[in-house]
Amino acid sequence: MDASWHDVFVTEGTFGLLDDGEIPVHSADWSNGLIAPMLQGGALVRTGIQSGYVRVSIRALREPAEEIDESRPWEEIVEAAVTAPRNRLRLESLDYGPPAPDMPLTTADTTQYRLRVHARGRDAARSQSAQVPREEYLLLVWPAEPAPTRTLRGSNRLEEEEQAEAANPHPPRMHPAEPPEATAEREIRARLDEALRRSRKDQ
Amino acid sequence: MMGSQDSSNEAAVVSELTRLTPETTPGSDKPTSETGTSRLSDVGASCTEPDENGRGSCIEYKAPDTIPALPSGESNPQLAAVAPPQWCEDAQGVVYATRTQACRIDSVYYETYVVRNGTRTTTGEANLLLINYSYGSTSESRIAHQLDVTAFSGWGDALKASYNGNARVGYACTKESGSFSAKPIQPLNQWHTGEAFFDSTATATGAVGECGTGWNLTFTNPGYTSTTYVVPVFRQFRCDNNTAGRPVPGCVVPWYASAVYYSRAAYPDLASHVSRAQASGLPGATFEAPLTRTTDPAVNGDNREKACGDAPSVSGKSCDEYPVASSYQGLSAGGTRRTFDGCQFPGIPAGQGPTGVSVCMITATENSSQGGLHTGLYRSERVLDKDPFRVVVTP
Repeated sequence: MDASWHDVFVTEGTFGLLDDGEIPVHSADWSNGLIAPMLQGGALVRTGIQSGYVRVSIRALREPAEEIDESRPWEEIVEAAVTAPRNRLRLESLDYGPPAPDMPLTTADTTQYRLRVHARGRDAARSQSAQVPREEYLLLVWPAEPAPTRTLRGSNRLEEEEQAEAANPHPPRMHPAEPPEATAEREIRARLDEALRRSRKDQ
Repeated sequence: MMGSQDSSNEAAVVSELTRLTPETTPGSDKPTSETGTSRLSDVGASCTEPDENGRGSCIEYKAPDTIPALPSGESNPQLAAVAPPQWCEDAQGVVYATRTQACRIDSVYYETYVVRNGTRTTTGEANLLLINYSYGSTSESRIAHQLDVTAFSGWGDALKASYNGNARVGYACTKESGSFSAKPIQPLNQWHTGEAFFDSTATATGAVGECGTGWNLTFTNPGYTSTTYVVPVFRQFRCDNNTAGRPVPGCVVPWYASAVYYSRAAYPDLASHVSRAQASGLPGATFEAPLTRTTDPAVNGDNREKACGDAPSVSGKSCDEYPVASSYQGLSAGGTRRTFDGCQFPGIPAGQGPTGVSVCMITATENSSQGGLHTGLYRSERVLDKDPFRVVVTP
């Protein structure tokens, strides 16, 4: 097995290309069946299984991928714009974090990227749990200005998922749906964090 | 309480102002008290032996039920410390906390005495309040433990005393700073604050360690021997660099159950299922019956498989189980499945009670969002294996 492939634990049908570990899931755009870009940073990749392991390879490119990767018989290929305001995109299991030490997926020059996801095997154990990976994903990431999501290779499943979301849309939100006390708690924590940081400066 | 008491000389106590900070919004924090075994170390009286003149002093922890209403006292404008929150008022003799703050109010009795011809006579008394307020950060390896002290009543020679403080530390922490110079007991109801900072030693990748902090208050009094009150150790914070996806150290109160919020407006299917599941008796909604997280992928997978392994295929929907698979309250702990009308899960009965799980087919993207919401909570609140957490459905 190529060392660049990783077994990634899937959480509720997703794994992540996260920006500094943040998961602003309220800002996810679910209109595509394979990639759910989060408008406030990073993206979730939607898997066939609901829980368990899938196999993932990820590569950072300097230039756009011109050719379709044919190293495997990919069944679905979709690309979408991904923003990374913290400029620290990493492949991650939501539950268990990065499967390997940091990989240089971002550059200093931009916070806007293009993510192309290749998938196969998403119907092998649909909505089930899989302790042995049966799905494979190749993720390519390169710097790019924002552009609409594009399906390069479709499937019945992708169409079903897109139709389901269109029939029952969950549009991205710019703020998390949380009660006022959660917002107030964040303000309190900011004040305490500042007090602790101030103590370091005073040393 | 020790020795005799001359109530005619006792100073009156009136108090309205406190050193506490009003909450910014009603219910802005939802502090709760620690349940189960107290982490207070044993406390008791400590008396010095009388000196060559027969004079000595005692210091004693006072039971919480003897604590009066919080006394007045102008806040010290020179304090660099953070004013404790209003809910500290509830922490009389018990620890109240949120995930990043902890508070306990103690009462201390200070007595001076003299022994003449074998007879011990109290020459003065003072009653003091101590507010232990500790705070940390989910993104800092440093915690603070400040001690707010005031004397609210007293008489005689005890009122001539002064006290100074020195912070102390234990467990996986080092003391960075913390002391305050001698402060007079009088005037009464004057608050004095000591501010101490401690650094966790659990900063290496994968490290986890508790921080134990405390203060020693030494009372000095002309003509009497000094005595030291050892403020019971405060062991509320756990620091770690072992939170998946968050490769920086931080500190939290691990027994406090933070909440993940399911908004009905944003996630109607999810909120509907979970609110019905909780109403049927399943845990997770309250501090008294929280869920506890599992980080074991085998438990997670087993929970999922037993709950949803035979889920029907419904276009656009996926199987949601409650309690969530990432908790120890899933079916790996035993129990049976239940479901509700409209859940599209044939062959499963309704059910009641705190064990087992509920299953329901819900919109797949809401189910995926749920995974993100939980992971967001686990990362932001540093929820490690066996930590409690709550699931709260909001409008």
